[in-house]
Amino acid sequence: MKKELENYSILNKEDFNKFFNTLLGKYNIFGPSKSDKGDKLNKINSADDLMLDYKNFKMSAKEFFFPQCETLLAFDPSTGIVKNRSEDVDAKNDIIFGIRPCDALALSFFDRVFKDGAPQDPYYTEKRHRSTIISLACLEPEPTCFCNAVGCDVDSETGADIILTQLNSRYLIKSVTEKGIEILKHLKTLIPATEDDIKEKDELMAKAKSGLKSNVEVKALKKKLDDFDASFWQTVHQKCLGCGVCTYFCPTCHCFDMTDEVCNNTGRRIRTWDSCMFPLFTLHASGHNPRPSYKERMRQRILHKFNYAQENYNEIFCVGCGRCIINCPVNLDIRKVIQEILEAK
Amino acid sequence: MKSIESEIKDLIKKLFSEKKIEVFIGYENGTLPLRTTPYFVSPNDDLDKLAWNRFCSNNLAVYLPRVVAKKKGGNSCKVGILCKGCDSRSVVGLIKEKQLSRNDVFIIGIVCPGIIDTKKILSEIKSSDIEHIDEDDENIMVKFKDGKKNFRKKDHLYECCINCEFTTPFVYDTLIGDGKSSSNTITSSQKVAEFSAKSRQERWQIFEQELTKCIRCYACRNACPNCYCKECFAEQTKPKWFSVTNDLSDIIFYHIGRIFHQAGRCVDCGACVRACPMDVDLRLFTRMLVDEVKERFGYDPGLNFEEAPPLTTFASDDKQEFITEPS
Repeated sequence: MKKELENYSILNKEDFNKFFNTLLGKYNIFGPSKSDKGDKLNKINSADDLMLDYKNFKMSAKEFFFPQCETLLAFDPSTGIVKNRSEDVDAKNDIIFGIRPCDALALSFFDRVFKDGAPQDPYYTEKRHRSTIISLACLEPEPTCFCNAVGCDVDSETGADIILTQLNSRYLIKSVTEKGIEILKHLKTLIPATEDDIKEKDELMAKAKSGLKSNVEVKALKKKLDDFDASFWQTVHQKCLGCGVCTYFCPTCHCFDMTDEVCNNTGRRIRTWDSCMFPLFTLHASGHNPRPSYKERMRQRILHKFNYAQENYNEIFCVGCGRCIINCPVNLDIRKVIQEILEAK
Repeated sequence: MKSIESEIKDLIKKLFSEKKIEVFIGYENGTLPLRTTPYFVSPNDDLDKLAWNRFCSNNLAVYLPRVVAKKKGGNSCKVGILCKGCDSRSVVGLIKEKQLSRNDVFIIGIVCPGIIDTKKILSEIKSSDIEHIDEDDENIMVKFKDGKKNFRKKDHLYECCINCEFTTPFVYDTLIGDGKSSSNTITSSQKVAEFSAKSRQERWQIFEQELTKCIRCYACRNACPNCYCKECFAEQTKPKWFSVTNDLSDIIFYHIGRIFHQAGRCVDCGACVRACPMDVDLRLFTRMLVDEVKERFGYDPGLNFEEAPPLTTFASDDKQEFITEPS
C-alpha cells in the first residue's frame, strides 16, 4: 500500500450501523442528535439516533468537556468527608462522534489552556484522556461560517483523532492520531481506501471550500489590537446588549467561576460558565469594576480571542463556526467588527 | 410618493442640522438574511445605510438609559430614536420610572405594519443559503439555493405583532407613516388563552418544560428595556438570592423573579422571546401577565405619562379575588 493511503480506510454506508454498533459495545458514544435544547451532543444509544445530516449543531462540543455547571467536589463537614468528582468514573471510555472540524480545533485550544499548560486542570484532562474525537468534514458550510478566515478549514484535522468524510455511498476514514489508529484496528467493516477515494474527497473539499464566502482578513488584526485605547472601541460595542450568548455558544470561550454551594451543612464546590460580557465578571469586592461598561467588556472579548491568545498560544481563539453570529439577539456580527477595526484609522 | 425610509432620513438630517439630536438610534440591514441590526448614527455618519422595513424587530428603547447617561455631564442633548408602537411604550415606561426625562429623547414614532418573524420564514426554507429577497405589499419573495418561495407577510408576523393593539405610538415628537395602522382585530393570543385555561399543575408543567431549555445567558433580560437595574437580582452576591447553577430550580427562580417584575410594566414587545437563542416561549408567561393586569386593573402600560402603574397605587374597588387566605 502506498504510504499516503496508509491512514485511510473506507466504510460503506450499508456497513455503517454495524461499524457504529461495534464501537457502541466498547465505548460510550456522544454524537449530534435532536433534543429539547436543539441539535447537540447527546449520548447515543443506537446508530438510528445519530443525526449526521446537520450543518453544525446548536451548542458546541465544549459543553461535554467543560459543562455549564460542574461539581468539582462535594463535602460534608459533619463527617469530614470530601468526595472528589473523579471518584465515580465510568468503566467505558468515550467517543465524541461527528463533531465538525471547527469544534475539534476549538478543543485543541481548550487543551492548551486546561491540559497542556501548568497548572493542569484535572477535571478537564481526565475527560479528555478518556475520549476519542471523531470529526466529520464539512461538505456544505453555512453562510455564517468563516473558518477559512481564522486558520481553520472544512477538513481541519487538529483536535481530531479520526476524521470522516462523507463520499458517495461510503465514508472515507482517516486516523489522525495513535489513539485513532488504535480504535480502528481490527474493525472488520473497514476496507482499504484507494486513490480514487482520496480524489473524490479532494474534489468534495474543494467544492466545500468554495462555499466559504467570508473575506475577513485577520492577519493584520493583531497589530491594530495592540492599541488598547484605540478610538474604534468607542463605537464597535454600541449595540451590544451585554448578554452571554456569544460567549456561551463560542466553542473556544472557556472562562468560569467557582462557587461553594452549602445547604444544611453539606455542600459542593461547583464550576460554572462565566462570561466577560457580564459586569460581575470583573467586579471587585471593593465595589470597583475595572471593566465598568460595555466598551471595556467587548474589548476584552475581542482582545482575548484575537490578541492575547496569539501572544500566549500563538493561536487565534476563534474557529469561525459562526455560532455567535447566528445567535446574537442584535446581529452584532464578529466578521463586521473585525472589518470595522481593520478599516479604522 | 416619498418612501417612509427616505422620510425618516430627511427628518434625521434636519434634526442633526438643527442640533436637536446628537445621536440617532435606528436600524440598518443586518448581515443575516431577513434581519436588521440596530444602527447608531452620529451627525457625520452615512444615512444611506439607515433602513426601515418589516424586519426592524429590535426594541431600541433598551439602549436609551445608557446612551443618555453617557451624554450627561456635557451640554444637554437629545437622543433621537425610531419607535414602533411597542417601542414607544417602552420609552414612556422608562420615563415614568425616571430612567430618562422626556427632554432626553426625540421620538420618531412610526406606524408599525407588524414585524415579520424571521425564524418562521427560515423554518420553512430548508436551505440557509439565501440568495435574494424581494417584497411586494403582501408577500416576501425569497430565492434560495434550491428554489424560491413566497411568504405572505401577515401569516409570518411575530406572535406579539399578531395580537398588537397599539401599532401606532401614543407618545412621539413626530409621527411617520400613512396613519392607517393595520389595527388588529384579534387582540388576545389564542396560544396564551389556551395556556391560561389549563390547570395550575398543567401550567407549571409547561413552565418547567419551557425553562429546561434555558441556558441562563440573560439575553431575555438584556434585550428588555424594562430590565435596567444596575445590578440584577440574579447577579447579586450580597445577599445572594439563588445559585448560579443551571439546575431547573435556579433557572425557574430567575425567570419567576424577572417575569413578575414585569407586572404592569411589560408592553409585550416580544424582545425577550426574540432574543432567546434557545427558543424558550417566554411570551406565554409575560403575555398572560399583561392580560391579567389588564383584566384586573384595566391598565395598559406605556400609553401616557399620567396614569399610575397599578402596582404603585390602589383603588378601593381593585379586584382581589386572587388574594388567598392562608390555609
